[in-house]
Amino acid sequence: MVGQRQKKLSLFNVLLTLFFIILAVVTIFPFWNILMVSIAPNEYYVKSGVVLFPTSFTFRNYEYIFTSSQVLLATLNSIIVSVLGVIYGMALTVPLAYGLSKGAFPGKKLLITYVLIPMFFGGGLIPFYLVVKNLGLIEHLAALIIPYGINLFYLIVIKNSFTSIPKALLESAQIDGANDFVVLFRIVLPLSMATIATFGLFMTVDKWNDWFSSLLFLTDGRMYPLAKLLRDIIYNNVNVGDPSLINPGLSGEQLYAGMDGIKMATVVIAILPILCVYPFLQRYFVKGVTVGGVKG
Amino acid sequence: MKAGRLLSALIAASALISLAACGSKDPVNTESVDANDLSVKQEIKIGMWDSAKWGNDDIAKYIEEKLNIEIIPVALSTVDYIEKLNISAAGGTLPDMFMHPGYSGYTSTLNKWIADEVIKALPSDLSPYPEIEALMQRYDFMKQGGKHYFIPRTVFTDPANTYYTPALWVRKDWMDNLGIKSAPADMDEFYDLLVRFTNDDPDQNGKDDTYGVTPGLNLEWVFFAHGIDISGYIKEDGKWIPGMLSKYNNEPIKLIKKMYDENVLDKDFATMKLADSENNFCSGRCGVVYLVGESGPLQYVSLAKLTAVKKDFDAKTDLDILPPPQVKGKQYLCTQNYNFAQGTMFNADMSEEKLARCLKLYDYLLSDEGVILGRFGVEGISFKYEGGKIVSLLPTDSTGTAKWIGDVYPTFQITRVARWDADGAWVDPTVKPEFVDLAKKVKNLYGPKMNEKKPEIDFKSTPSKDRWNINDYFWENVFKMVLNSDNIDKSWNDFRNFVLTQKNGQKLIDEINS
Repeated sequence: MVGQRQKKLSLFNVLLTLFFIILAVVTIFPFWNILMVSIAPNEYYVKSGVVLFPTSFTFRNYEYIFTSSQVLLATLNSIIVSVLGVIYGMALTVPLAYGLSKGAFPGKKLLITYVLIPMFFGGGLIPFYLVVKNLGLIEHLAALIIPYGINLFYLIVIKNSFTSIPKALLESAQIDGANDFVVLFRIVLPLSMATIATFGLFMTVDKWNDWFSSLLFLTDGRMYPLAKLLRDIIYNNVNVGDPSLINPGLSGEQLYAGMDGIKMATVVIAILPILCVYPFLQRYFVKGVTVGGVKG
Repeated sequence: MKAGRLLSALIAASALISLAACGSKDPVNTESVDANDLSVKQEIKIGMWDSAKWGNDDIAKYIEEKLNIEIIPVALSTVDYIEKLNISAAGGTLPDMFMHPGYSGYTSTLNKWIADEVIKALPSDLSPYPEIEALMQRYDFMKQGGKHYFIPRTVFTDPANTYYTPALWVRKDWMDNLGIKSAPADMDEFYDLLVRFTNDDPDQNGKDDTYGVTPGLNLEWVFFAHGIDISGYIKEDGKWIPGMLSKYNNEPIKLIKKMYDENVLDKDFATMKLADSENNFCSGRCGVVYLVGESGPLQYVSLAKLTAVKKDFDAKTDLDILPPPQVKGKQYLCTQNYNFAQGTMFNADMSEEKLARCLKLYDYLLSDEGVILGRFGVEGISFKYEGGKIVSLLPTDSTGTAKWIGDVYPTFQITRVARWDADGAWVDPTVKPEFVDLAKKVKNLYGPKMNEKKPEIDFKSTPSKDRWNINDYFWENVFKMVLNSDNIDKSWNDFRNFVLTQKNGQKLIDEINS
């Protein structure tokens, strides 16, 4: 009865379990502290610094954020950039990956080399900025989407994933009269859902967390995505009455007092959507990355 | 071959895009203009911290109507505005007028922008702008090639106030609990105070849960107290040197180490953030902190955090300002002297007409009327005169206290383009008198000058000096010495020699003394 054999309780197993428990606590603790500070009354946080289990709770920080039009606007901007950015990115990446994954065609190696060059040699920040500026994208949300259509690393892995699909499948479809679009959408994509889901999530996280593009291309605070606003809130020595946050009736001292809690509540709101999506797509991760990663 | 041609075409296309992007500047109209002719409306982009929420409020309307301009805020964030402006300068998208540290640590950028014609010089004749003219006469030493490129943003509106504003805050109620009647006169007495705060249960809760001092802003005050201005240049052995390279810095470092070893200094001093340090002071864990000593911060930190923990907090009895402790019979005080922090520059790409209107706006903000606008808003709307005195008409909160002007009119921040107006808080109806008294105490205690300042040295531009930036490196090494060194004298000398020889320190000294 090999399958039912009991595992021995060895010292090694105990130490390993302890190690992973400690690792889990160390990993989870910062998130827990952020969550607790966001719902702890200010005086509790000022007194203790680190909050494990506050004796009382308040949702005032969340009330403040949800009545601040700028946080809501930034959340909406982040959603727009993430959704459109991923659709746009996939729309460019998948056909190109499919094209590059196909059998030999004239200039294929050269095209792959041309695609790979920017992966190793960037054009530099200023030329990139100038190109975006001359495309007329400065001060538009589109500047956070259009210049970032293709992530070359993702492209290569998706291309490799497509290459791993048995050729016989594609050829039999072509014998039945399917053209490249039909092959791509009816055969390749359904067979590569793990890869697409994985990289779709990676793209979403990239877009959701991207503050640097808005630093480069936006100066109108109303267009900031949540990541940029959050960065400003956390790193700025936020002053009382800071116009970057709308004050819905709190006095200067109350606002100043609540800044730590407001910062943490903003962090919670910023990480929550990604935290919610991850578990549902996690099952695709290993398969998605390994399928594309094994073949060159 | 076909593919080779395709690749060549793609590379050529990329190069063309880059070349197009690097196009030349528009020519600048250099005709002289009548500064008082406001007939043509000008659109002015202003790059300033926290301008994201400037809107169409009464202050914006008033300024726009008065000067026939349209204000377009360009939001800059305190955390990354330098990077943003650098990119904008390279891309030719700088705002018309924008805030920049300039001489406060970014002289090399300023010089490069002057050389590259990124920023515009002020007209040599400033008589159409009397307020700017008067201001710039005080900063004549900032001229480069006989021209001004940078209007400093004054900290205090009253030019007589030139002191450095951070100060040592102390828990006066703790001193009273310990029977300490007067402020410590010298560093020994100050140290004794810290030891008693650590050992003698100053909060009388029966627990050993307090200590002496938390860094707050930083520990520069220890160096200042020893007569070493580490924020600037000092004269030592007949030569001007950066204060951070004084051979006498070993003494303040030894004191910090003693405080650390004897547990009177915050154990986390080396990694502590300002907010955590504030919390440690306000939550009753320590008795002294080094924070900005202006009435606004005094009130906000106290009322926001001290009252959260000490419900019956009263600034009159519970909080005080300590004088800088004397060392070797001298009470050294560090002063800011030049009374500015950051300043305004102007985009070289704009027309002379627009520059004239920008300067008109700046001149207005510097005027007495501009000062009142920044402090009280618009007459008849947010304040009125009664018997020659200003009476606020700002809405009040539930306690009957007038709301802060920035909460009602976010565009009030535009007046901060021209000045911080630290002394404005002394007449701000939302600031309680006890905090104004504390701020004035800072002025009286910290106001006198410390070191001889020499603008010719501080504003001298040399290759090594313009690139000199060892602030973080200095503190990192001071902390390492405090935490690890058994021989501070040797560690300090080693560090100093290393900076002199390997970090261009000696070269800088030679250049500024030549």
